[in-house]
Amino acid sequence: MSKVVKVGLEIRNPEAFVQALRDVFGEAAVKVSSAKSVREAVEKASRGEGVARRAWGGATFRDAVAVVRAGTNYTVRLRKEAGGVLEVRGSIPYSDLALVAREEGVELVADHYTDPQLITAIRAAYVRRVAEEIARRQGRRVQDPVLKENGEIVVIIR
Amino acid sequence: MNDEKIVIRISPKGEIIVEGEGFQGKACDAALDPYVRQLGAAQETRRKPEYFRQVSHGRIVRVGDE
Repeated sequence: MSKVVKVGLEIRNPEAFVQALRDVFGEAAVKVSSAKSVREAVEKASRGEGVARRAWGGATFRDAVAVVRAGTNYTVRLRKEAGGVLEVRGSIPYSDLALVAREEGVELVADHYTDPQLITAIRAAYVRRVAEEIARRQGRRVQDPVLKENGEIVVIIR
Repeated sequence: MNDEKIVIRISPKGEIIVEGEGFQGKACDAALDPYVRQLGAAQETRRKPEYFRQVSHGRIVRVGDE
């Protein structure tokens, strides 16, 4: 190993995040603000023209860029390091899962009933999408993510 | 690029660790930086002994000689 960097995850590539949501929930389940691109959707959302206008608890989805509706079923399969596959199944609980544009950037808003394993799987799908773009430019290849026993997901680029 | 690899770890708490493995010298920066920049803000960086290893260009570099 030659260098280790700890990174505070920020969604700097909303296009890749929407792709990641589609990887997890399927194409049809992810509603993106009516726009030609996610970039345009982010711009629209910053003007208050998001896809959803509802509030749940303290979270306001007024500026949502993309939404996965409550009740949407999901199945995520993760290859385990020890062998075999872990299947994470469920449905989005009481409130929608939304990609929200804020002044500080774009963030994922989910309620606290959302399965933490699902959130980790979405983060992993996002990291993979981002990594694929960069790896392609570097002439490298991204391997399938692997779930370790401690719950960590590992993405390897060679 | 034989044994060089970039490993990204995503913890259940949402911590992201980006590691370079098998790189010699500053080649690691060039390989890792685009991933770090795209994924968020670097909070902590630790360099491994390989990072400081000189890439051989056929000359001896002495450190500490006056």
